[in-house]
Amino acid sequence: MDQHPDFKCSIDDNSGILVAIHVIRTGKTPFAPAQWEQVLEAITRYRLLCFENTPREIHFRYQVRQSCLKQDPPGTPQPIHRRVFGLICLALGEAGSDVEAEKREILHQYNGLLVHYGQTVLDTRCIVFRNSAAETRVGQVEEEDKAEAGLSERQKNGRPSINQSTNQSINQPINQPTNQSTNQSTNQSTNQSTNQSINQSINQSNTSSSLNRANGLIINQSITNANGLGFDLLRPVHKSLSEANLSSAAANSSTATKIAKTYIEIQIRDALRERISQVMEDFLLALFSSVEAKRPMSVPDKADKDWKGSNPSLDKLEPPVKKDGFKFDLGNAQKKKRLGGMRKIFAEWLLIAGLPYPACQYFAQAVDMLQSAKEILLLAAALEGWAAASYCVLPAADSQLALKLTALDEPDRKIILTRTKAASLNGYLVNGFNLHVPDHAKDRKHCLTSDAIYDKLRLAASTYSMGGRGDLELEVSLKLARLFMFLGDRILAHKGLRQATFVKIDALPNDSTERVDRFLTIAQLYEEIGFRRQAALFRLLAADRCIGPGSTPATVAEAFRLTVRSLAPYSLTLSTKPTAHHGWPELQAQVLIKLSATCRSQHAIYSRLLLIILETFSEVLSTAEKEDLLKSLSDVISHHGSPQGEVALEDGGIALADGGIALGVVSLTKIPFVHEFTPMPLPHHLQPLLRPKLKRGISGPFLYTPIKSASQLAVKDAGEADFMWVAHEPCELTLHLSNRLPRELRVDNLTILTGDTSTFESARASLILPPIIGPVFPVVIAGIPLEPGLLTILGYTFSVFGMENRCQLTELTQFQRNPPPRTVRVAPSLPQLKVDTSWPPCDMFVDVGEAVVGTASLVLYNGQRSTCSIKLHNIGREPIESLSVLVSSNDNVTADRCISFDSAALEAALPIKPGDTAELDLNVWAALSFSGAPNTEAASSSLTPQPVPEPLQFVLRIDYSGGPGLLENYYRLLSVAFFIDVIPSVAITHWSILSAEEPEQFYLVIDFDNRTDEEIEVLYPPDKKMLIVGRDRARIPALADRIPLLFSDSLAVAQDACRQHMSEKIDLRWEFVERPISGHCWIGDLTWDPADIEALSLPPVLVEFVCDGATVVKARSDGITVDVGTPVELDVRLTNRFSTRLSGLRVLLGFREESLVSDEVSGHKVALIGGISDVVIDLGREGNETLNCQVVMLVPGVFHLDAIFELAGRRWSVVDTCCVTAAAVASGTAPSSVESSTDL
Amino acid sequence: MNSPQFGRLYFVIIGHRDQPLFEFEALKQEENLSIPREDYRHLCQFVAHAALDAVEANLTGPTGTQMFFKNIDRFNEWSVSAFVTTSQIKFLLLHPVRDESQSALRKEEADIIRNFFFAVYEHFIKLMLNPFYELDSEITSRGFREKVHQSVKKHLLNL
Repeated sequence: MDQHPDFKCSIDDNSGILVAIHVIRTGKTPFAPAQWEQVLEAITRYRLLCFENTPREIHFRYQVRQSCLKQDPPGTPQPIHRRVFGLICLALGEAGSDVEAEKREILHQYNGLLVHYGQTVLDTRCIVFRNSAAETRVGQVEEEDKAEAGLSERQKNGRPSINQSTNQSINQPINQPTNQSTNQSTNQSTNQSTNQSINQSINQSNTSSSLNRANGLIINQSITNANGLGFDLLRPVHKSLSEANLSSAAANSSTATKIAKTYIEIQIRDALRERISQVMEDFLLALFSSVEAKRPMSVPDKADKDWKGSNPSLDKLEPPVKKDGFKFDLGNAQKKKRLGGMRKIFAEWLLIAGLPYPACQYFAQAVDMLQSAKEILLLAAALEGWAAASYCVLPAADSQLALKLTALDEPDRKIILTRTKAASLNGYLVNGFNLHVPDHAKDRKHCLTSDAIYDKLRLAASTYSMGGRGDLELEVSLKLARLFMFLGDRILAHKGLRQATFVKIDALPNDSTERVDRFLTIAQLYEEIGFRRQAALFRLLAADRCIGPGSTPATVAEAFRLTVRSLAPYSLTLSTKPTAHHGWPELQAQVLIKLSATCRSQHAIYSRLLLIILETFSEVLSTAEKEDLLKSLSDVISHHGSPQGEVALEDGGIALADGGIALGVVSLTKIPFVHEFTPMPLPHHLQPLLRPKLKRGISGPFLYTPIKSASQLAVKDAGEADFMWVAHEPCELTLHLSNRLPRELRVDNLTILTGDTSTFESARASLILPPIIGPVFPVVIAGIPLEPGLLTILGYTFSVFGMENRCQLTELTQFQRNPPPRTVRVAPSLPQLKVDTSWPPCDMFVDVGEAVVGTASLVLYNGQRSTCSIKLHNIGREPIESLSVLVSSNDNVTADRCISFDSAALEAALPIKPGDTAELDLNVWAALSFSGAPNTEAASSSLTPQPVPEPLQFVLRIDYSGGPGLLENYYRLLSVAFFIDVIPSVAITHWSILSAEEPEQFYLVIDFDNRTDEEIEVLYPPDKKMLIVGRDRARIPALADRIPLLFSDSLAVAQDACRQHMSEKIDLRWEFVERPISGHCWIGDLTWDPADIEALSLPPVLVEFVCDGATVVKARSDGITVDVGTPVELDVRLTNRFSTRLSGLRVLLGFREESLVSDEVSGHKVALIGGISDVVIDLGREGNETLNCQVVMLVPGVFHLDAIFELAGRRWSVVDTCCVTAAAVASGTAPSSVESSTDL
Repeated sequence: MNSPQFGRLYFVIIGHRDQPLFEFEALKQEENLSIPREDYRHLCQFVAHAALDAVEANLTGPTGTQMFFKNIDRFNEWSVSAFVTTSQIKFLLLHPVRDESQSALRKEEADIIRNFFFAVYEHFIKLMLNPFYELDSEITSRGFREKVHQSVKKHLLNL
């Protein structure tokens, strides 16, 4: 008894008179879809019958039925609104076929239907459409208005008079009372026989039928012909079978066949539509009239009474009260059930008759009674009906709803019946205007509000559920949902749909499409109330059912279509890549997996979809899912190859609303996933460098100007790498790859994508990534830039699964925050230099603060000299045209002292052609500080650690260039690090200055300390040697000339001058006695105090003493001898030794007695006459000055005349220059002039 | 409908663009599911996603000012309750449907779920105050998960 629920049901159905539409198939050609729609549209035009100036409205409901539904078994109460009261049969006659045979066939089938619906049907029509066979290609519509086949039954039921009169009144113009009259009217032999046969057939099926009539209506209606010569021809409508028409049709039947074939479809013209409408209007009025006639006028008050007026149809349909001859006293419950059931039926009649107010009242009574009678199904139907009736009167109470309904009003679909028209159709309408409604019935006491309607419908649904009628429960739920959707309450509609989802219908077969239809209906309704996500979920559920066991290609295609429609609510589109930030990634992955499952037959789309899933959702997929997807993918690709380019759906019978889908090329950015993409700089020594251009001075009168020149504005591109590559030389990029898939991944042709492929030649790499490894699988890809300029790196390309992939760096999310350089500047080609040194490389790692290409190391004694031969090979393609060598060290002073080379020889070797070699000799003097603390006894013991060798580090920087690079000011820098371990030889522990015999010389007294265990000879000027045994010390006096120091120099400058002078002029050497190792001591770092500096500096003034005129005495040993008391003329001649002017030079002269050391001789022993003992003079450049004086020795003795100069706070003393011996006068020797000069 | 099985709970916090911010499954270990656990989770996710429509409809409806919506949706044995924060972040809880026979419990259930939601809301507010947490981004805080776990234990598992 279960049947497929009607998914299109709505609450309006309960108040409509049901008209079934059947198609009768005679030939092979069914209605074309468009044609069928037009026909159906015309047939179902009228939905409403209104009576002028009354609120009464009759609804008509049409149901297209493909086959006869299984009737409920007799005795089952069938609600009135489910009864088929009207029947429309449609047939399409084939042109050229045997018209009569066709008619027989149509009538046969028609009769079958009449028998089927005979119990309920009140009025019928059969409409035959025919393609005209005429040359004008006239479409013929043949309508056969048949009398009710159920007439005999109705006659039996006891109300024949109404039916007869009704039928007669309808058919009066065309109907003939008997078969004979029909035959007479047609006068056509063929027609006669047809009618006879029709009648026979009808008579066979309805043996008691006596009033069968066959009447024909032929509507000749022009239709557009296939040649485009459309002209309309309206022939008069013949109300009987027209002889002329039939004969012409018969005459042309032979030639018509081929013409008829050219017809593709019939387009229904307005006139035809009008005609159909008119027929339908007649039909509906007749139908209403019949219904009205059938409707019981009142309901019995007592259970044992029957319907008043003994309505035959009611008796037939209701379970009769059993009357077994005994009068049973029905039980109370039985009575209530019967009364309630009758009230329910009465109310249903009222409802379809457009009388909702009394319907509400009777429904309410019925519900009351049935509830106490516990009659579940009847109760549910009553509740449903009550809700439907209440809905009909709802607009009266709700002005908003009334307004909405008015807006939706379609006057076209209404038949408005005026009183005059009704009067002209006398007999049709028994009580159309006679409402039979008492005035008080309009009260709303029993009418429900919308909330109450919801409750009643929910109650009805659950009551049906209790009664085991899942299909009815589902229908009520859908009605509820649609009702509240219309009323605008989305939440209640949602609740109704929720109810409908979970209704269990037990009796349906397994292969039933009921579930799919139900889900689709629910999805559709959800979409209509704006619940997109719910709709998508139900579409997916429906799709799941479609591809379940027993699926056919058609259902799979349907599943695909449904899944595609459900993508959008999950924020998925197939045209663009899914973004991670919208929607629910796990669900998106699942939806796409479902979608892929529905298009397995579309290999290209299938594999493309799998790729999209793996690419986009690899993070959210489980390992097992990835395994499955990969397996499917490799299967598809191995059988059908990998899809190339844009793939679109093949013609697999899948038609989508938006014209199908096409999947663009997927760029796999995550298979394999690239963690790092780094263009690598060239090795340090090969990196090209750009010589800075000389800055031009500020042009213009302004120190500052806001106007910037083009070169200033050229800001360096942010994406440009901070290094350069060189044309025609290999460069590298590093990619860190990982494979997140649980299978081995073969990556082929991994290569670099550059902006202009002609400027870069990239190598290709192929590799196999193991499944799910850690983030780093580094791959180095080499390439050669071919042209200087700016090289743009776009990304990388590779192929996996046989598919080419281009990955642009800008599209990769992992590089959004920290993008790799997008451009690399390529320098013009440059030579390449390779350096070899004669020294062995350093055997330990030393950080020299810069990248070096090689190292060289040696061990030297302090002061030892050595030479390193450096070979420069040109291994590049360009000649080396410019080359310069620079020594760089932390201590440039030391480096300058220790390292020297001949740069002129290097210049001469240029240019070095490719493949050629040049040599450079580097002279190294390990001249570190010799000064050191004296070795104490304890220090010299073996317990102390050996002294750590001091390192001498420097870097030799060779900057070179050549070829095109040189023209553009590019060069390369190559560095070699030198490490010289300096071990101590001798050390200077103490030093001092002693005056030499000559005033212009001095002794440097040095204590040497032998820091080795071997004997060392120290050689010092003048040509002397001193042997020092191991770990011993010795003092040597080295003779040296005094140093001319400028008086203006500060102490520090003087200090430096002394050091430099000494290191240059005093040649101190050492050599091992046993070994041929020697060295020079460097004494440039000895420190001198002011006294020392004074002692070793040459005074600025040369003092000469002239005694007795021009006589210049230079003797040092004896000097002059004078008599005591005799004055002697003594001139002091001062000469400026320097080229600067000496102004304010103070000269102090004083005698000193030889026997006394310190004090100056007081005036009582020597008298210096002339006032020159303390003078201040100015000396010009290289000028001289003579001071004249007389000396009188007052006592005998040996006196020295000292000169002391003071200038600018400095002081020089010239001592022991002039020695005066005073002899007693007794000796009689005459005083002689003395001159002595001292040159310090 | 199936008999109620507490312990089958699924809690999810959903952001403004339908993306999950936080997921929590309370599934008893010993429970034997008819379908794989993974599919079970996906089903929960599908149901939660679909229920967002009802949440939004409720928000725009007459009860829009409420934060707590009980039983706004149903799917098989699941009932969905929702809680919408003032920043329009949605908390959804999938819990088993109660039978009619347990109507006394059903009344109680509303209070229990409401309390659970408010407890989680409190934790959520604290999380929002964290300057390192960006609104509408995935919640990765282990502390938050721990707190939700405790709330589930306290409010839901002992129903």
